[in-house]
This record gives sequence, structure tokens and C-alpha cells, in this order.
Amino acid sequence: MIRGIRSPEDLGAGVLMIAVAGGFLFFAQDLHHGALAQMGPGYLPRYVAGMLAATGAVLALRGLRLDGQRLPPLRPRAIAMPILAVVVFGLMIEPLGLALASLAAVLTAAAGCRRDDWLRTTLVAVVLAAGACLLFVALLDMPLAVFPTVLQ
Amino acid sequence: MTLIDNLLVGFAVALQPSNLALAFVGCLVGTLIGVLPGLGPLATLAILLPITFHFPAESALIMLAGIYYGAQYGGSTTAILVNLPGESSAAVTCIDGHQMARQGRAGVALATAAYASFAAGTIATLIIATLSLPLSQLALMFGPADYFALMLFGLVGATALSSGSMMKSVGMVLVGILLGLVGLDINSGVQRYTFGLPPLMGGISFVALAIGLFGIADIMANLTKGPPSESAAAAKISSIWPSRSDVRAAWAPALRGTGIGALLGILPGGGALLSSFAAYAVEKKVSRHPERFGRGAIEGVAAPEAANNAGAQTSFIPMLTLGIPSNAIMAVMVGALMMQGISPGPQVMTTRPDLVWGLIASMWVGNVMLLVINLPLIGLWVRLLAIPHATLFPAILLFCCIGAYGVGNSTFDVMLAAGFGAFGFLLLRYGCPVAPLIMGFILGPMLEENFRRAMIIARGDLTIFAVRPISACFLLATLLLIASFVAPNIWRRRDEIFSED
Repeated sequence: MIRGIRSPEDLGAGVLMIAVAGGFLFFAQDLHHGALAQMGPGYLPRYVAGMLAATGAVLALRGLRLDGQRLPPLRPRAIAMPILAVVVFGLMIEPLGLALASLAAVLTAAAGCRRDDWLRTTLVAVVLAAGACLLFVALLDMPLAVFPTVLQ
Repeated sequence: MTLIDNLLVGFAVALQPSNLALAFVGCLVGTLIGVLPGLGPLATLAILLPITFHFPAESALIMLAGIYYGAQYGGSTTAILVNLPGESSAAVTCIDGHQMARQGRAGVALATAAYASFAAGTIATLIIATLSLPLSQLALMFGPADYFALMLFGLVGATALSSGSMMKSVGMVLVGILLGLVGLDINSGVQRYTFGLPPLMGGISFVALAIGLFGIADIMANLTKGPPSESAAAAKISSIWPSRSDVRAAWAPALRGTGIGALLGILPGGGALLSSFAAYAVEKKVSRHPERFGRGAIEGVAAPEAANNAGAQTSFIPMLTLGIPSNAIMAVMVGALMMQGISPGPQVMTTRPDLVWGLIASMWVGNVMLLVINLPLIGLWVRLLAIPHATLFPAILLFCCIGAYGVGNSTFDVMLAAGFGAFGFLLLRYGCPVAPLIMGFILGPMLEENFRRAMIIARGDLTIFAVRPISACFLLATLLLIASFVAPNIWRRRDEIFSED
């Protein structure tokens, strides 16, 4: 751990808040500010973002000066795979349909769990994809294409 | 007379076969997911929210309420049997409930929890039915300034009473407000933070936000924790009938718990979690044998279970009468209403009596169903815990994906959910509570609108908030609330309450 950081949890939270506030302040540049009696669209965002930046700054300072929580170890695979699964689903659902998108999403997500039993994982993925098609399209009647639409 | 008329209207809606079926499915699915550790009522609601979108408003709300109670109940079941609270408000139930289970009284503990919750639910339903009408009439007198002050009170209360770091809760409310401002500004017609993307014009999709922050982020957090060290051995269930002495020991705590829960549920930031902690603490104080607590005292199960159910129900009161959510779960409910095209507020009471009274009546129906579902199916719930992570998490994730896509048939929403999943994971990692963010997201736009209207009416004169009696009262209450948690002795007590978490 880097010396000088006494509570990485607080510091991280503070930096995150400052970053969010900075983003909102930066993109508020073009928004009209207005006055209290006639507030423009930029009035409230600027004040709220300012308050958020201040809160973040206090937290970050506290993270440097007061002892606090340490962070749990990161496991890259467990973090990347769920997000990747959602992105894969999003990219596949419209051109390739629910069945294939579900299959791919489940297989990607399963890669984030520690288990090397691929036969079982594939079986689970097939069952889940079939179940999803049955539940959402047949039972709940959602307007989703089950099979690839690009082929038609 | 009107009360009975209204309840009759409500039961006519709630007892329709389709609504009965939805309440049943809601309770069942809610329990199913609530049983799983790591996924509380908030995550359960967020994951299942998109399904309800395709039903009429009153049916959707009835199902969501069923899911909420089910998740609540499922949490208690695992708390008692395997000492794993499925959700945070069941954490207190673990203490004595699991001790009872280890003494071979698991069935009695589960039955006590079920009956105490049922009694509390019945009383809470009556309280809601009596209070709703007068409160909504009172709310019609509120002007923009009063609404602004009330929402401020609600937000401050929610941050003050939420567990964890106060500073972080405040920051999360502010992040939520900012996210809520994305989209078309209704007053000026200017686009804010949309980056020219058409899907962002109407604001960030609530479903994508909720699914990302709760569903996806929770799964990531669970996966980083790694597989559970060992599958907890479930206690055997013998008799589920409490003896006469059990009933004698449990009824008074259950009633006290109901009272505490009903009261705390109405307050902003209150609800199930705070209610169960407070009820347990009170029982320990009034008991003639406080040393029995923690060793399987039946009072330690009856009181918090009654309290969390009563609190869960009365927290609907501010939402139904004022249109203002008092906690994150109610914020999800308000989000569901808005998705249905209903703007929540006191007028809903008169424009959609079927919706409000149908929901109130369905609460009682839901309580009966939980009693019917839970006790016979306990064995099934326990077996759910044996499902390996590698099967469970991909399944939930798939549900999240389809939900995020299905509401608007929008790929953009799926990507947005993935982004919020990553953001939510960072928040969890840095110990930031996500519930206040949802509160801010829902209340932010209302807050801005009322503040701007109040300022236009008063021509920029801020003293209007102090001059109007209703808003002055809420502001005073807000100041008192702030003063009370800045005071050091309250700080210590707050730490005490949540240190058992």
C-alpha cells in the first residue's frame, strides 16, 4: 500500500465523487445559469455538483489523515466477466435474437466464476437460454426475436 | 363509512383472479430471491421490475409489493435456518432465531416469525387504510415551497438514518440528484448532459440504473468475495407449532414490535431495517430476563419480525399520500409508477382510487399468501442455498440483461446498465451506500421543479420557506434532525445500533 494513504476506502470514495462532480461541472459550461427568481437549466446542477465536490474533498482528506477500512483484493476476472456478459448480450440481442444472445451472455458470465467444468456450464447455458425464451417470449409475451433476424 | 367503502373497492381489485395470481407469483418469486444471501429486497425489486412493466399499473404495483414482502420474508427464513441473513433487516433475527434453530426449535422460530409478521401486517394494513385519506387531503394544501421543504426533510432523514458513513450517504444523494437531472429540462426545453444522444432525452432509464447499481453490481461484489467457505448446514425442522408458553411469551413483543415498526416506517429513512433493530433493542430493555437474548429468546424473533413487516408496510404511507418515497424501496415503487405514466402525489388517491385501495387490500392478501407459501415450502427454500454460484449468478445476470433491454427494446439501455454496473461496483468497493443514490435520483427532479416554482412565485425571495407555516415546520424538523446527529452522544448511539449489522 502507498504510504500516506491511511484509509483507501475513504480516499477512493472522495476521488470518485470529485470526478463525478467535475464531469457535471465541465458539461454545465453551455447551460444558462439564470438568477434565483428565474433559474436557468444550469443553476441547480452547478450548485449540486459544487456540494458534491466539497463532500468528496472532505472524504479524500479524511482518507489521507484518518485510519480506516482497507480495500478487499481485486479479482479481475470476477469484475470484467459480468460487465462483459451484459455488453455481449446488448450487442447480440438485435441482430442475433434472444436465444443466441442469452447463450453467449451466460457463457461469458460463467467464465467469471471459478469453475472449470465446461460441460456442465454449457448445459446450464443451454437450459437458461431455452428457459429465458420460454418465460419472456412465450409466457410474458415480450416483443423479442428469438432467432437471428439477419438471416431472414 | 367511507373507509369501509374504500376497502371494499380495494378488495374488489385485489381479489380479481389475475391480481391474486400476480400477488401470489410476486410473493413466491420474491421469497425465492430473498432467500439467496447477498441479494436483498432492493436488488430483487430492481431485477424483477421490468417484468411488471407489461401489466396494468395496479397489477404491477400489487406484484411489486408481493415481491417486496416475499424478499423480506425469505431473508428471515435463511437467517433462522442457516444464520445467513438474506437481507439486512433480517440480521437481528439471526441472533435469536438461529439459536432457537440450534436448540431444535427451528420450526417454532419460523412459525413465530410468520405469525408475528402476519399479525403486524394486518394491523399495519388497517393503519394505512385509516391514515391515507386524511393525509392525502392535508397534502393537497401543500404549495411548491412546502413540497421542497418536505423533500429536503426526507432526503436528510434518509441519509441520517442510513447505515454506514454519513458523508458518503450525503455524497450519494448528490450523485443521485445529478443523474436525475440528465435529459430535457422541462422549464426551458434545453437538453442537459444528453451529449446529443436521443435515448437520453427523456432522462436516464430508471430500470437500467436500478438493474446496474443493484443487480449487476451486487453480482460482481458477490463474485469478488469468492465462493462461500462451506455450505452452511441447515438446521432440522421438527414441530412448527409454538407451544402455549411460546405464544404467551411472544404476543406482547410482537405487538410492541408492530407499534415501533408502524411508527418508524412512516418516517423518512425508516422502514424495515431500522424498525427491526429498534424493536430488538426495546425488547432487550423491557425484558425481565435480558440475559436470555442471544440464546434463543422467542421475543427476539417475534418483535423484530413484526417490526420489519409493519415498517415495510407503513413506509407506503408517504408514497401513497404525498407521492414522496421515504426510503430506497419506495423510490423504486415511485419509479415503477412513473414508468406506467402515473405521476405520484396526493391526487392519485382521488384519480385512481382503485390503484391505491387495491394496493392496500393486496397487502393484506399478500400477508395471507406468505403464511400459506412459506411454512409448507421451507424445505424447498433451504435447498435453494445449495445451488452453486456458477449456475446462480449467470442466471440472475441474464435476467438483468433481458430486463434492461425489454422495457424499451433498447440496446442503449443494456449498455447503460453495464456502465452503471461498473460504477455501482466501484461504489460498493469504496463503501458508498447505493440506496441514497436512488432516493436522490427519484427526488432530484421533483426537488428542482418545486424549488424553481417556489422561487418564481416568490420572485427569488428565499424567506418564503420560513414564512409559509408548513414548509417552516419541515425545515425546523430538518434542522433538528441535523442537530441531533451532529450531537456526539447520538453519534455513539447510532454506531451502537448499526454495530450489530
